[in-house]
Amino acid sequence: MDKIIYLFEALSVANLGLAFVGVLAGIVIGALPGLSATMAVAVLVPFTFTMNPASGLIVLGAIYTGAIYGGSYSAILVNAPGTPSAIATTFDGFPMAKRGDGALAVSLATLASVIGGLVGALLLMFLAPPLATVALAFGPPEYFWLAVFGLTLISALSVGNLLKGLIGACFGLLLSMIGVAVIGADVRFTFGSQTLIGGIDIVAGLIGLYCIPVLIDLVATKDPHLKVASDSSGFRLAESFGILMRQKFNALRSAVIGTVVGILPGAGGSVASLVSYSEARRSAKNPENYGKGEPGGIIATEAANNATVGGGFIPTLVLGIPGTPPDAVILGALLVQGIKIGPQLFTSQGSIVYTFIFGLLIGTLLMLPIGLVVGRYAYKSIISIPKAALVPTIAFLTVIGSFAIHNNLHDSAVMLGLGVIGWFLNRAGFTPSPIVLGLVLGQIAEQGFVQAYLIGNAQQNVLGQFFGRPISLAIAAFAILTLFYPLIAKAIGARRARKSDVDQTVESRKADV
Amino acid sequence: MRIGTLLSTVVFAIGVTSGIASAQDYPSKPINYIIPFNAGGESDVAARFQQPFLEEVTGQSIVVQYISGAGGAQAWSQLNGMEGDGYTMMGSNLPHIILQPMAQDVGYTTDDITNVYFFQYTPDALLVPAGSDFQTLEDFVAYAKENPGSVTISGSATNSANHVATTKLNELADIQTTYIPFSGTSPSMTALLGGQVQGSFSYSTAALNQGEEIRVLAVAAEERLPSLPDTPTFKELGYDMVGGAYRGIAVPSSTPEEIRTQLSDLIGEVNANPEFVKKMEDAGFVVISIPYSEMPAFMEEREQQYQSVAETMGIETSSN
Amino acid sequence: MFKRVHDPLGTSVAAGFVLLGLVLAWTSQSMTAMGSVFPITISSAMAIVGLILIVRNIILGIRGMTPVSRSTGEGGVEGGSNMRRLLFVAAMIAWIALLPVLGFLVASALAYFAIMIVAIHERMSVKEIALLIVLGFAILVGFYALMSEILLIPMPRGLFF
Repeated sequence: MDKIIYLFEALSVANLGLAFVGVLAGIVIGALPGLSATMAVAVLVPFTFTMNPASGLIVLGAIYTGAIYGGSYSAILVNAPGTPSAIATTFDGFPMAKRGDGALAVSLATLASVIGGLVGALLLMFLAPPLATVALAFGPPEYFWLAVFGLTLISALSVGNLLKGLIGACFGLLLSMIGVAVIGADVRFTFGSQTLIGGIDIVAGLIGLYCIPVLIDLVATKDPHLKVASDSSGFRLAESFGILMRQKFNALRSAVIGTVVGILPGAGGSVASLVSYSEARRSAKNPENYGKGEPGGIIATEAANNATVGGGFIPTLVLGIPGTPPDAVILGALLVQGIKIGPQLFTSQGSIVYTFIFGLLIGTLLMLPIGLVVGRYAYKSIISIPKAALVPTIAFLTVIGSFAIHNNLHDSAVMLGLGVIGWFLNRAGFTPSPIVLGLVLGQIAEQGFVQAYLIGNAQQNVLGQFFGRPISLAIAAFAILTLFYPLIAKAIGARRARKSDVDQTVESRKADV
Repeated sequence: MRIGTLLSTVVFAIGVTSGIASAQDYPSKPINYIIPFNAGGESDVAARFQQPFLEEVTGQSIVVQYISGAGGAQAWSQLNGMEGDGYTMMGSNLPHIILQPMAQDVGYTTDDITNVYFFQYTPDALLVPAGSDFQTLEDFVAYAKENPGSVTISGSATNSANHVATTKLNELADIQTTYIPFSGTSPSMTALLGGQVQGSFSYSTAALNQGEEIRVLAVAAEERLPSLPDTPTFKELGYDMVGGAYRGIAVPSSTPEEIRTQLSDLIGEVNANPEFVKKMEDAGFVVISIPYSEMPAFMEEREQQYQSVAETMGIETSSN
Repeated sequence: MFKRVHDPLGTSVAAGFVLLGLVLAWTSQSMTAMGSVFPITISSAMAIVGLILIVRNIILGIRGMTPVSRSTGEGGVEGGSNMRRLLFVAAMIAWIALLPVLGFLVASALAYFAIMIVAIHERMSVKEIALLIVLGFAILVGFYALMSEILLIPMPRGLFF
């Protein structure tokens, strides 16, 4: 293990201090909706020019990983994903917080994030070059099917209300089309408005659809925002560990899914967490609990989204293709420093790369103590702050957060507009999650579809593009399985129930004897 | 402490709003440099290269900020609403500021953008994967001639510099290729490396990043690039194609003439620094110097160029 | 007749979606072939699913099904003061509209305390109110400093700051 020497380099006091500060700053920025990992990384880039490259990378990596994790706080505590990666964390996190299990949810998110981050970083360290080929194996048809797979989650999110869920998803897909189209450059559905020409930013949509309805209802009544747990003391760490041990396969599977999806440029943490959430729910013993405050849901999404950090660096460092937007900023920083990216980086600049990966691992481990303390503090202040201060503060965050996405007030207007529409639709039984799913996955689905069609057309083999590629077919099969799994599970469950009835009678007879 | 911050913010804000542009002591405070794209792109990287050199010649700090959206249009449509005191400048990109308003109403026109300097461009580069059968541009063109429409070329977005380059090559070589637009340079490059498409139009900078994974068939520069000495130009291969994405700096239209010239001179000073030029060229940029005084002629020439390409691309010149 | 429709609110919203789908599908026809595939498909799909929902609800209504009680907690909070809801939304609209006019801090302070008043449900002592105001200013100024001085975000400037 010649790599170990770099571990000691990463463990220098200065680098440890940098990682600590980076994680802490990242958590705070990530927790504020709209202030993203990309922004945090971009602001820090000039400062890192004065450091040596490895230390600079350690800070950037620490901020990045902290910000992705920090997004879970606002998702859990105020139903507003701090980053798009935390969308699926709201599904179960907020219901848990509402019923008084906020501390547990935050602890679980912390543990799962650390596991996800470690898996992602370890895969980056040991398997980066082979895994980078995954990014290349994914062409337009694969992205299309991946988005379709993500959309099948609608059937799970709108149990008993499938028609409304489908309408919501269509509405979300249409929202994703607003603005200048990447393919064809049509100006779509803007109705002449300058505000809409840039399209609806996913983050603005998220803040609006999830957070504004909560605020609107919050001012209307006297009830507190979150129920205060009977025993609000402590992290509930032992309980979290217990749950995590029972869900270890879920956590590991989600971390691997997160790493692989993170490798795909253009997919990112939001898709990773949605796909792993969908998988976790499908393979769970109690799928009906998902969406109502099931710890497994938080574990799946948080393990997956933090794994995308390591995963995203794989194509960035191996191919020079940034896997996620923050990676693009870091890649630019490397270029300005004169470091050449590519397959040779791991050999020619091994010391920088491995010091960085160890730094990422250390940053991820530091997230555990820092996250537990900050998370507990965040939870406590959310439940103890009076409503009269909580509501305007969250409202303030929604406005500046949506503004800060592109430093543009158009996004704030879009955010508020969607929020009011979302509140009204929710009243009529159209829940926000299918709309968000459509909004997040629409671009990926559409571009994948049209590009695959154009390529197929040029090769005179359109059907081959969609149905002639093994990875496509595998993803499509998973999509179908997820879609119809509730039916299959029911059938299996019914048979098993009959069988176990028989078993029980047999056993009770034995006991009699 | 809090009061201290508040006070300093008040003082700062008053200073900003009431700061009367005075040409004598310009620049006398930090200059905001707004990039109309996300961090990490070519515009951002180039600005980061400029930053320390600009700070040296101005003696002031240069604050790089980002206002992104709609391919830059969100920022450019706001430009003239900003303070014209010389302390706000914005990245300006060609062909974007010409093609965008030509194709649709994006909230600004080409004439609304007051460019003071164009300092670099990244020539278009035609790339194929390293393992491709196309060894030269000739191979590529010959194959495309035999199989009209079947060669796929990826690029970033529709009506973009990459799209213009593909259209122009089709026209000059009399071939028919299929342009596949992607949502950005990275997805476009991924599609090329993964063999989803046969070729890709990108910039010289991207060609350098990918190193040995790809082969650059030709670059659309006047002469060979120092960073890619073995790659021929389109010109020497017989295709009159020089172009790419030009990047410059623009100011709000209310900025006084004197300040515009001063700013142009300052940027020119950076451009003349051999250390800066070396850094830029190593990363694949081509440093050019089009100061404020030469701007009208340069813009007219570029506008005419894009006008003709736009017609073949089917962009209808809108009435505004 | 209409009274008997199952889930009247959901049904009328679905009717709105059908209409929206038809309008969007119709406007999409002027787009390029590449740009119109998805808009036409999805907006038609929305209209069709909307119609199915309407028909189902009418049939359920005729069969005499009572409106379903909301099974999940996602329906939002029932009851409460609609006046406060409206005032909150109005304050938010004013906030975003006034930011570029009055400048960041002034507009935010106005909207922040307006929303605070809307959210107060119980009587408060002068001390509590003073504390809330101090807290509010601290949050506003703190975030302003974070965003403009540390994160270097170009903040909207207006008449004031």
